[in-house]
Amino acid sequence: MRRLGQVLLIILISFSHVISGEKDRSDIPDEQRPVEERERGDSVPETLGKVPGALVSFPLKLLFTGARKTARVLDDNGVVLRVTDWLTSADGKRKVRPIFTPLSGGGLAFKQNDLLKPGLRLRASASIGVRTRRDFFIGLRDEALFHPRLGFEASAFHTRKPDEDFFGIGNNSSEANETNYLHRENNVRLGVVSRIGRRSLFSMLATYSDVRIGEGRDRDKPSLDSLFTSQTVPGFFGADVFSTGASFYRDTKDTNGHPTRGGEEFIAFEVGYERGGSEFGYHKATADFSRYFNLFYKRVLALRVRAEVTNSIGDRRIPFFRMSELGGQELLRGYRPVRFRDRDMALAGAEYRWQVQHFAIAYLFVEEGRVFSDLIDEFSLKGFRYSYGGGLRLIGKDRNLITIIEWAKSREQLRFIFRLNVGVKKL
Amino acid sequence: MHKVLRFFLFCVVAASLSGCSGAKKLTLAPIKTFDPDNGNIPAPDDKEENQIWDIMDMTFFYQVEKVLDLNWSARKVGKGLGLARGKPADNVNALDEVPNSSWYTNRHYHDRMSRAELRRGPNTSPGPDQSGAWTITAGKFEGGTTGFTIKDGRGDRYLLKFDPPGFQEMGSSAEVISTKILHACGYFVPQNSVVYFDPELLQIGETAKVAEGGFKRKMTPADLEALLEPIPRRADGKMRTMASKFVNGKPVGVWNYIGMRSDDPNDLVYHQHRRELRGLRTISSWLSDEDRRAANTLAVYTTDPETGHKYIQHYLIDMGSTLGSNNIIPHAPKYGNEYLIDPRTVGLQFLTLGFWVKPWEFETGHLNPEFSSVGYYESRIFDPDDWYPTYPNPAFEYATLRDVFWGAKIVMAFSDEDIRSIVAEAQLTDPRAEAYLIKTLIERRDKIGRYWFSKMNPLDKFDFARQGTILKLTFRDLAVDSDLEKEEGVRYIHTTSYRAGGVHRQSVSGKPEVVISENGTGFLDDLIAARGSKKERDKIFSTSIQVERPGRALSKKVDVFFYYPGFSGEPRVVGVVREE
Repeated sequence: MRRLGQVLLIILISFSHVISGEKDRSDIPDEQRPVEERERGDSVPETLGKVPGALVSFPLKLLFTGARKTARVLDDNGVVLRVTDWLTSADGKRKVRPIFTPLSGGGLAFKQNDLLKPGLRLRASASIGVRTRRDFFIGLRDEALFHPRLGFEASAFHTRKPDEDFFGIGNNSSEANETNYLHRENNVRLGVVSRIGRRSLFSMLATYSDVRIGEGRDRDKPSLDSLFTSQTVPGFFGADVFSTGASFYRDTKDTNGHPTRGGEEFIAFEVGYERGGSEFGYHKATADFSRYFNLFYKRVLALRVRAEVTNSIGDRRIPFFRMSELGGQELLRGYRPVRFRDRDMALAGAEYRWQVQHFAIAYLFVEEGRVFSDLIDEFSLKGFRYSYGGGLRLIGKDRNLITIIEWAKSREQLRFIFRLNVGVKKL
Repeated sequence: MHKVLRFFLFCVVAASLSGCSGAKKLTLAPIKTFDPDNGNIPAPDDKEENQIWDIMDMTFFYQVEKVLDLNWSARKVGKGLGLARGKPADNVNALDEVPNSSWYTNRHYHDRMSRAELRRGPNTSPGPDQSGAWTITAGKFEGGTTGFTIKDGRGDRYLLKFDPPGFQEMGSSAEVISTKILHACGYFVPQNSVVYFDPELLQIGETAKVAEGGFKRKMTPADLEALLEPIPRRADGKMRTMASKFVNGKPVGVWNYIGMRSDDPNDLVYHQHRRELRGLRTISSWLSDEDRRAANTLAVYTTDPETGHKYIQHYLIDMGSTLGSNNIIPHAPKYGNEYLIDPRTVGLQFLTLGFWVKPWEFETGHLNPEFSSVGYYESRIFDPDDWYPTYPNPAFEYATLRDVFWGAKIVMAFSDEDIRSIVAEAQLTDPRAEAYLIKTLIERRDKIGRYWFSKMNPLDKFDFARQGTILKLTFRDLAVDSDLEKEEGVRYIHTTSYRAGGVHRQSVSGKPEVVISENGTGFLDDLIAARGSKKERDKIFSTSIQVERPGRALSKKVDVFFYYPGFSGEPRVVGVVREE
């Protein structure tokens, strides 16, 4: 009651001069008096009313006074322009951007188009994170090196993920079996690419991967070998894998950032063998389709289905790090990364997107997915896991994605995800 | 803690009560028409404003501070409940008008300017002297348009701005038209003109520089050639440019739409509470002048030619982002309809999952405007009440109904012919584009008048007139004057009373006038005789007038206070109070 009284009192104070001014309408209101007859600026109650706001905002203003002065110095000396000019070419062919994902950490991404010759594209990124997490990538592509429709692609990739989670294999792998391991991979890829029309790309690539599995750096979780063995988890120590494959990608989206129509289709087939051994051999087929429907002015329904089928070759086994995965940033977002693994997987998702500002896209999504030991023979709608959530995507002037701020919920957890300038490894 | 709070509240109560008791009685002193804010002051510092910071400050920090300001919040709540009104402007006179000052001069609304004066605007010359060479003295490093500074044969300095490629005439037209309109409205603006010149006149001066990658270096002939290359030439080889003459005096930075300038002793009114800055909201909405922010202002330390006093004069500059132009591209529909980062629309769209559609979302006129020399300037979805600058402007946010009504009066003072005359100064080559611009200006003007005149009593310009033996209080019905309402059927209901209230008489007239006395016989004459008071202040009366139009609700009141010394004396209006 006392607080209510105080609030009423404050309101009364603020209105008091208005009320009192209306008692005798024959008087010219105080604020209409000639300016030199008045005190400088506001009347006393008006000035006092500003005190609470000023008190609260004072520390903020003090904090940002430094930022303001710094901004002025930077602006006056053209520092931002100079750095931007150094990192980004005026024609947009060269660009450096900061990147961040929870999995890879933070770093920089660099792109250079028309390197040495028109059509030759260079992409590179480097990021580091906690517990010696690191991620380096460099790639070159020229889609018309040999012929207007035939080019090449080459890339190298190094990653060190010191605290990957592993829960076992299968759709029913339990959270209680959570273990931790180190994944280190060096990967070299070379192949030919062929542009079919303006929107489609066919590629044939050969990849050599050197994967090493070790003890995880997250001391709070048991290590992989405390619960699993090389018998239950193929590829327990890692492997050198040589694979070849072909893929077809078609992009009919009308724009990046916030597509409103069209879609993306990706089909790939890969065959992999262990180099210098006969334990591992597999082939994997992947199909991923997404489609965008403009419901009404830039309110978009995005649908996606993805399926992967991995089979062993002869009596060889499939290393666990080449199996299908669910969970994480792209697949079943409400679950932690690679929460489920098995030979095959299926995923379907729907996302409703709407533009809240010209640079901000809000979205809500729901996804269903599960892993299978054999998708074809054992397919059932039972056992599918779902996740749902929403977020905000911020897009840049070039319509590319800058930032994703997302929350995703599953039966196991609520995840908050922040990513900055994702998708830089796309050649 | 409670003790501290109680003490604080006690202070507020005490202070507010002392503030309330200060209401002054009506004065018989002459109506104030000039604010003496041109006193001699020492040279102020050059005040720079970082544009990025200003956006952040106004968009985020000021918004937080504002909500925590008890007066602002309490008034907002009170306004919603119909118990209070917004804080009134601080610098209006007894007639609710703005006295002339270093910020503002009453012009077209109060004393109609001739067409020639409107066309001329603030200009004292038609532009740079073309009889001699133009020496480029500096590059243009701020703003989006290409340009540079020149010195002509007379030694006058001008900033030349060129239209963006693909939108020839757009920026220069907008700048010249809006400058002349703002001048006629009463603001201080630079002398801006559309000029066609021979590029051969240009010479690169020793001091001329260009910016490259954040560095400045000496301008070369190649730079000049590259700069002029995309600019089309007329058949006679001349190029079009917008020439803005440097103002007299020493620029001392920007002025803000909030607070006061600490090094200017003449600056006595918080800028957010200045009527001419609050009312500018209405004028800016007319011109689609969303870029009306601190960065586009100029404080100039100038000398009064009569007194020799040195003081700060306050200019509005950079009108290149008005009408259909957004500097180098056409205005996007978003501008004018929401802030750059607008929690209101973002929140609404977020909460309604996008099912709340912004009225301007379907607008695509900016992508491929019908007239590239006009850009995107429309009157169809324009809503005078729901207009926003690019980011929050405190003076606009504080504007009350009386402030925006004041702005609307000024906007409505421009007749169709006035607008035609001013637009002709832009020298648009496509007559269809010119016609479109005129039509849209007229339509937006009328929307403004219709809306704000319906929110306030549109009677103004109160005066006394004698017609034979009849003494009348006359006034103008601005809605009728501007052809927004018909004269037929209008009834003006007036209640005249002695200023202390009580005794009153109600009458109705079909004309904008109130008969006060007929040959010394009338209600007021009887009152004076009955009271027998010798005090001059006791001869102040008031008339409360409402307008009744056919099929409409009765308008709000306007109270006119006047001094009436008797039929033979000189009556005069001493105060006007408008009901909000």
